[in-house]
Amino acid sequence: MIGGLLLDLRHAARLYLKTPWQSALAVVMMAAAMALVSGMASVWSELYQPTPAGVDSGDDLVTIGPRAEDMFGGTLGAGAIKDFASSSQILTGLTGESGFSRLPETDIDGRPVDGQAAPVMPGYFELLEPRMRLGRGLRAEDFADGGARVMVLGHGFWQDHFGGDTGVVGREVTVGEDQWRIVGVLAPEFNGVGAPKFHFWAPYESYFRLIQTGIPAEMIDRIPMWKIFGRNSGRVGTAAIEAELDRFLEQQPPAEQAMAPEPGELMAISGLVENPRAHRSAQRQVTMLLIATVLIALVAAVNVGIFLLARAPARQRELALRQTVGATRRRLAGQLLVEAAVLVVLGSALGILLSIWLAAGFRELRFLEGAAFAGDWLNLPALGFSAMLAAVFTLLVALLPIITLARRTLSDGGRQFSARPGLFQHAAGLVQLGLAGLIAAAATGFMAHLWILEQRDPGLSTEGILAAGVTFREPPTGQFQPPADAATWAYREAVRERLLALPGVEAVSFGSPLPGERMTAISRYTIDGETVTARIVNVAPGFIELLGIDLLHGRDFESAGEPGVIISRRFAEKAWDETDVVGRTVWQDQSNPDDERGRILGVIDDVNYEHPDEPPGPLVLSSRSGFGAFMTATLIRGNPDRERVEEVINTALQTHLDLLHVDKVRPVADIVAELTAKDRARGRVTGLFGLVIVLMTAFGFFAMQRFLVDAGRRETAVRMAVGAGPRSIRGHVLMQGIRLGAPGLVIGGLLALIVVAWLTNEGFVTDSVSPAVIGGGVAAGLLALMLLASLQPAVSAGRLRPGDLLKEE
Amino acid sequence: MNEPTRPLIRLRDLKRIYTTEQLETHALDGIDLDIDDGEYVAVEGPSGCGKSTLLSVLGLLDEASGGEYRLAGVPVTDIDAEEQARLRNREIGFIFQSFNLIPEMTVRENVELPLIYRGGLTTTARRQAVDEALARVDMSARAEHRPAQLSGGQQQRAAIARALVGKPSLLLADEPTGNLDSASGERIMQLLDELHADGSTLVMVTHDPDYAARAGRRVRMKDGRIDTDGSVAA
Repeated sequence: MIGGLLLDLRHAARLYLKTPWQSALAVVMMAAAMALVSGMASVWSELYQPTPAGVDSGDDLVTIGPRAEDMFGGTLGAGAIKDFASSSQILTGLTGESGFSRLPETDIDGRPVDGQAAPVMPGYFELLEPRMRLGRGLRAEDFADGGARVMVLGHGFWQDHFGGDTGVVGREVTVGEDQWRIVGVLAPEFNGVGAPKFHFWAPYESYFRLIQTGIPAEMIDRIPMWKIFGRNSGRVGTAAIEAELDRFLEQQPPAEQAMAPEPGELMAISGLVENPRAHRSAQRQVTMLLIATVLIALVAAVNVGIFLLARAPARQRELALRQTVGATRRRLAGQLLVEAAVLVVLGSALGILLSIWLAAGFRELRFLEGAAFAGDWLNLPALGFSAMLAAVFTLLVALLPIITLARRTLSDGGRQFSARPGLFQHAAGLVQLGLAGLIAAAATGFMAHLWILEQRDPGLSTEGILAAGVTFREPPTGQFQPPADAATWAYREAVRERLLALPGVEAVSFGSPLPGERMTAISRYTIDGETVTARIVNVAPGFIELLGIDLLHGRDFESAGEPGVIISRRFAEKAWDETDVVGRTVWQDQSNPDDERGRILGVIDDVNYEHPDEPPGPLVLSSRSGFGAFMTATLIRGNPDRERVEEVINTALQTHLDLLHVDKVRPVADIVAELTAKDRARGRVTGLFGLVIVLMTAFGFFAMQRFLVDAGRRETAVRMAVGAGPRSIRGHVLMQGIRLGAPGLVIGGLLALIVVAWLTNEGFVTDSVSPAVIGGGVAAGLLALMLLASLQPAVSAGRLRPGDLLKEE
Repeated sequence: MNEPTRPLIRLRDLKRIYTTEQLETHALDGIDLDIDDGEYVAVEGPSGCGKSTLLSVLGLLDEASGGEYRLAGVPVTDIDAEEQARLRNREIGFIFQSFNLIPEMTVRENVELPLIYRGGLTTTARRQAVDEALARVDMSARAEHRPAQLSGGQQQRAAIARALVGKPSLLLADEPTGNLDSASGERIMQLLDELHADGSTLVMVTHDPDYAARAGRRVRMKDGRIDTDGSVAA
């Protein structure tokens, strides 16, 4: 038994080493298929069961969050959440964790603390049931009477600040000026649902008293700042939850509606996640990628099948011979199974290694930013399932020569005259080319989309321009008043003068928001009954020239704070159907006819200010004073030392605006490039998938053609004997390839068309990408691929020596 | 029987050597042979003596390793593969021991194959030539059958039709009766006799002395060389 097994193993090793490249390719393909599927399935399964580490509360939790990207935290206030909780027929245990979590500089027991704390609503600990290291979580009584001064410590904070003292529970600590009581310490794995690591968890009302926002107590319940969690007790789909939410929002009293989102602006998602919108987007994209990996795996499986079946005719003679010397069919099946098992073991071993690497790599994909991943390890059931599928498929295909053998007599074993593509070859061609068309089209669509975005002329130049943004040293508290304009203008003058003295600085100006920053203020103007919605950018003199924006009419601002506006071509055309509108006004204060603030000083060409995928909209440049001017970023053209730039600006800020400091100095081009980072990541991943499937298809098609040529050598020899030259034979093989691939080519082209149209419709790919062009291009590419893959078999068939073959009687 | 008129085949010191890593086999070891137009030559000899290799080289299915081979005065050892294919198509007809009909094609399609590769013929012209060839071997009734539906003798007659459809100047037959019973074999031999009588040059490899005796000339090979070469006594 063991001896026989060893013999079979030795034979399998010899067999695979006889064609080392093909064998290695089969192993790599099997491993790649397994790794792609299990790696992506790991990511997928986590995205569909997202629960933060350390939470034991089951899988029927839901998160409610804003549907739009630019709704800052905007969900519901605590009061509205409580109202919704009492009216909901679906959700129970509704609670919230606030994104308003930054601690002001404070101290606990005299030691300064700077970081994040989690204000939470009642029911948070009851719903999530996070694992505790010591003590308890917050209870209903901690929220009574405006909130008790109690806190639950995060594990890291407990270790760092309290030295891991196990007697900490029940201890009173001084936080700022008040006494707080520690009631528990969380287990190390739980850090809250939000992205930051929290120092401690506290009843929300107590927390707001601590950070002294100056917000009146009655307003705190109305601030829509919550990530909302609840239990889907009705076990319904998220659409039903969203419908219930919309009904609730419609019924809000008018006074509340000003603060609350509109119906349709909130979304629900299964699981506990930081950012439901990003998470749902990630789910959709990962689902698409999972489908793509499954399709790639299918092509890989077909290829492994081709690899194994290609050996079948050549092995008929060997198997027949073994039968003549007494091998039973069972014994031969055993031998073939051992051979297949060697392939499966090698492929699986490599597949597991690749899976671990890929599962981690997939989580880092840029377009999955914001999605919640609980674990960072491979999903073992997914790996096991894909390995099992690979094994079953390989073993089944490996046994096919035995079935074929049953149809032959011993005497004609190995004698094959001609080969025509059979059902397997036709199906393989259809599957491979069809799927290659689908995936390659998606990849081409994404890459074309990216290329178009990167080629678009934004109407301004960001190359060689640095931006130094500013931020508050400390978050402002209470009623914030910006400094007087004089301080801002003095600061700007000081910065401009000092920066221009730095080596490498060519020009300096100020503006905010920067190109590519999605924080533009929007204003509506009504001109002659026509409403124009425009984005407003606060700028200083020189901004237009520094960014290379074309000034079509009029002039730039001449001094900081100068009244008037500069508008874009689109604005002018929309309001007046012409561009030379200098001197007109975009708005006028009826009570003050001399007000110059709305007068148009100049008209610039259209610029794509926010995102390359969005058409340039009406734009208004203003040099207004106040908060907008105070917070503007500094723009520097040239290549100065960034540290020196930061130093110069910080020095000027300390002198004139000491509330602020430099946030970071970075190229404006990087900010713009950041906008297409997700598109680039998608382009790269799908491009890689496209490349893999195209290579696999090429290999599979080549192997099929090679098999048909090898199996049909005798027929080729006869054709040569009756006068077919090498050219005719090559043509015959190429035509055979075209006939074999034609159905797949048609299906692949159609699928390419459909998938690009769908991706365009779903907003993944810009409208500028034509599905017909991509579909046609992919079909042409696949045809070229087929011919290329058939070329070597065709050439080899043309070089056949018919004499030797026809003598083999 | 036609009188020989001019040399159709001229071989001088023809060699075919098969080389492997360990071994060099001289399948043809310096063959000198002239075959005139219209001759009927039987090539005999024990297994492995080089008969089939000689036929392959004569039919341009295999290349000589050395020496000279002229077919109708053309030095074929120097021409490229496409030109060799053209010569095979126009000047040579093959008859194999195992028939070598393409199983997926009908008899008509098999017989038509050389004319398709020749090119330049209309469908009607091809059809007419195929009909004539099939009639010549008495296979018209089986034109639409596939090889698997025919007996061995019928398959060989279809193969002969394919060999002569292009009206070649040389017919090469490698053990044409080797896979047939004696009655069928006799019928094939009669057909070959008739073809020769009609002017075809015929070179036939055979083990059977009776069939060899029907040829006008018997060439006996041994160890890759020509052992004896002479006319058949009446």
